Amino acid sequence: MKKLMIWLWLLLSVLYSSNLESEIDRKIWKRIIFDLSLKEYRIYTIDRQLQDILCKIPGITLVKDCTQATLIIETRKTVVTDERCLEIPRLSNDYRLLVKNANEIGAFFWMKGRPTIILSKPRLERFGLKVDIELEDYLEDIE
Amino acid sequence: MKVTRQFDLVLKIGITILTLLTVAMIYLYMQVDKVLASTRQEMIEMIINRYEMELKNASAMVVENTRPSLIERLSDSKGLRRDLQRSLSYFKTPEVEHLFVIYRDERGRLRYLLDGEREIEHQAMFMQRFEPVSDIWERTYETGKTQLYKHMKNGSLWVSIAIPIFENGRVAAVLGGDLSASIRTDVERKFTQIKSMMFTVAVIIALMLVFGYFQIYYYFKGRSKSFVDPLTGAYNRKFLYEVIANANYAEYQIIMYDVDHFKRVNDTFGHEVGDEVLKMLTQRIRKMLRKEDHLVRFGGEEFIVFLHTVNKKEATEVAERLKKSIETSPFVIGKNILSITISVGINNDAKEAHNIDDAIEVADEQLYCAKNAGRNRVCVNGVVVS
Repeated sequence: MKKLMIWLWLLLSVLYSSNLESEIDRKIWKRIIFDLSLKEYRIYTIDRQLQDILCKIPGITLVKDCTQATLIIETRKTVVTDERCLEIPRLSNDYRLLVKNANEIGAFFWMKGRPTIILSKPRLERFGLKVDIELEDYLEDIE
Repeated sequence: MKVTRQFDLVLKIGITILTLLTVAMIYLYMQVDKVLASTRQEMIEMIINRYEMELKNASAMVVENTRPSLIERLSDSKGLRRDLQRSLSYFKTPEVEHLFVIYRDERGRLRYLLDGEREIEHQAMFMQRFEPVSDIWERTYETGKTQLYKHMKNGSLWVSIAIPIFENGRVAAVLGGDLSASIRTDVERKFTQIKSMMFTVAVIIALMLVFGYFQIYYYFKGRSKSFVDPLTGAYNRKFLYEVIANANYAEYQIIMYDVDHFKRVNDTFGHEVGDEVLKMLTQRIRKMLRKEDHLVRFGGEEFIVFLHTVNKKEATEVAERLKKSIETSPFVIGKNILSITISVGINNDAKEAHNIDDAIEVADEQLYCAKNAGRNRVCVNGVVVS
């Protein structure tokens, strides 16, 4: 019985912490996306988890074809390789992807249990995008 | 009622002891709880100190291998970075979740220099930005002292430790270590087990105390009942020999009375009427006695009054009053009106008796004296007084 209680408590803690993390994820993605000076917020992503998060944000339209998107969000496992979409700005949840791919304008990810936002200033300029003043602190000179 | 007062006293002592035990148990439980809380705190501090010392060793290792300039040497040599990261990874344990070295650039931003993470996909890149969730890193730069931060809302992290890495007397970088929340969970689990064990013991003791209360209550309740004659409500022989015999009966005047011709009542009106006579008689006699006097049914229709007084005259007066009251007020039982009389014998010198039986025997002799004198009499010291 005692063991069961401890396991239940651990399970609830894990569930609570994962819910908390997912809630923070939703808030941060919302912030980053709406603080970008996009004309429309038509987003393409093939990552299921991200789709679940983004569909809960009012004002965002998830599109099924990357050519219709104004922003692509990819992950390490779901990189969009369609050549027709190479000129669409991208965000990712991986720092290495941000460094490697020149079309990535920024990334949001968890590093050592800490939520991290990084935006590339030169790449944003290349896409003619600006960010809200509150996000300026996250701008980095990643070419 | 000196004797029953003794009972009350014993009962009160029993309940007081149990109450004291209960209070002591509650106090002890609270004290143990306090001790557990402080022990838990000490244990947590001890764990943090131990890891802090290990992380200091790791920082010393970094300093040792990056002389004379940490930033320059790490920037210049990818191989050195790789070697140091591997060495840092050896300091990692399931409890030390993250281990890294960061520095503050000229724009005041914190950046990773080294990361002890073994899996490359989770490893921070050189000069990757570090996002702090507390100000301990800045404080480490400012104070040059180790800083701690306890994560409150982070599911996996418990404590972050920031250890300054000095170079030429100033803080050049900070070694950071994140202790896993699993340590806290382990500690909590152990203390929860101890606490639940303590609680179980406390509940068992509490139940035993409650059981003790009931035992005392029912013991005295049952004991009180066992001293009372169920028919008349007067005390019985058990009370006489267990209570009065152990008290100082010399403080009493012993008045023994017997219903005259009681057999005739039974034979004429039946045993039910006979029983009713005894009941009514007892009620009447009790009304004429005080609280400190005792009325005992000695057997059949024989009763003894233990009159709490040393005044011999008073005993005679009470005996006469009792006899007269019974004689002058007939007993109305159903349709029957019965004239009842009693014969009374008094032992007004009980202190001379060796024991209660001797004292009663003297009273009994006086009762026979009254009977022999024609019944409905009071006899004391062989003399019929009324």
